[in-house]
Amino acid sequence: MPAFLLLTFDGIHDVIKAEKLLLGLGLACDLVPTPRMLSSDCGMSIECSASDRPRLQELKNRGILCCKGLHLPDE
Amino acid sequence: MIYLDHAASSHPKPDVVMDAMMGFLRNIGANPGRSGHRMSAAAARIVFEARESVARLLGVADSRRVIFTPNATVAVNLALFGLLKQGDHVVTTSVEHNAVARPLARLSAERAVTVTAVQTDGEGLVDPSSIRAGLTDRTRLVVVAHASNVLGTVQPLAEIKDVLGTVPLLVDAAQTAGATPIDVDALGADLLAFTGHKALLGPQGTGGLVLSSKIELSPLVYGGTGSRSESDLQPDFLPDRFESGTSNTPGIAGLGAACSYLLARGIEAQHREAMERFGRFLQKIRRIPDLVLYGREGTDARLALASFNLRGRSPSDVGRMLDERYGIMVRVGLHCAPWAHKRIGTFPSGTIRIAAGASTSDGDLDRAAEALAEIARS
Ligand SMILES: Cc1ncc(COP(=O)(O)O)c(C=O)c1O
Repeated sequence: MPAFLLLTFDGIHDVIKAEKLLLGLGLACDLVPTPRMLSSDCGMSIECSASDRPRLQELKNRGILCCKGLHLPDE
Repeated sequence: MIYLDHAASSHPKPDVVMDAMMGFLRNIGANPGRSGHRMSAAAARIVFEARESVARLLGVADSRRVIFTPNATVAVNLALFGLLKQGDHVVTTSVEHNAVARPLARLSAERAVTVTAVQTDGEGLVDPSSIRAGLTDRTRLVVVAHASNVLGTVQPLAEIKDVLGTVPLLVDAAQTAGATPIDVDALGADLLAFTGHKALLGPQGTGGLVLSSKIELSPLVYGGTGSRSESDLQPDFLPDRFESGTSNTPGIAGLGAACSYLLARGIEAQHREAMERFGRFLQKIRRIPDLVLYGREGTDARLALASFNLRGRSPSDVGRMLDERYGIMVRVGLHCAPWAHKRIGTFPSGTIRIAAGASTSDGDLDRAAEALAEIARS
């Protein structure tokens, strides 16, 4: 299983908002440039630990985390 | 030097505003969110926090609906040119600023937009029922300055909103944002334009437009946003849709710090204090023979600013004397609002306007009252 999960967003406002949320919840995250294959999204993305995927998916489903996608590197 | 021209631009700004601007320029400086590196992220965090602070101060739940612009004028232009189509009708008031009057005149020529400017009373107050009477089935927008920059009269926005039905309301809050409490969501204002450099205590070159989720606007400016970069089409999400081009990040850093400062001090308490102080000043200048004061009698529904004339003297002569002899800075003339001066009968020479601000003391206003009394006697 890959170690990282990439969250992509519409725009930088949502990236910073999500970063603040995740740090507040004690979830490790890192802002990174968006890889080219996902370039239709904001130029920055958030790298999270793949082991947090269920928690992140749930936050997204509940509308608390405003990301567009959760990508594993091979997706 | 006594600065009493805060309605044109507030001065001095709180130290935290200058510190935030210097901090950005000295330590970050990068393009917010464009470049994917740490410093670009740091700049984006500054813009994000500023947007959150403005949203909190103006009562906006989702800060994405705060669009940064260089000032209130650009925000009003974005709202009017972005919304109005061929043949639309607009209702506004007879005391609006040129920031509203001129774009509407242009839209009349360009898109056959028709305008009804509802007459206010002699104090500059608009009666909501006369706004209702101005609505037609073509009315696409109602535009109201929350407070007149000439008279300081504050309009009853909630009562105005109540009579509009589904017609959207654009509030020009250039004079009131930071001076009086504003709750955009509670009011249900569809569009609100604000400027950063007046009562919000931020730097010049900052301002914005608050958009409600119900409003569909076309952008005024198209270009790069750091998002959806592969596409020639403007993004459809907020705030990027309306913020093409590199933002005034040092200014926005300062504006954010200014809003945090105001939130900590409490706008309501500050307004009450400012009006008590200004009420004492109004009482003093009312006793000056030959001074004609315009606007509201009391201190309710008004800002800490006053327009007046000294009989037999031109406003510009009085302004020059105040500056040269007393070191008192005021604004004279038409204040970019000829409509308001036509309404109160002071067009084209205008008035002398004294506008207090966050840094104004009782002593400053006392000296201004004494100077005016001396000039009137001389
Ligand atoms: C009522 C009103 N509207 C709009 C403006 C325009 O503000 P700015 O010059 O910051 O765009 C002003 C400021 O002069 C004003 O007083």
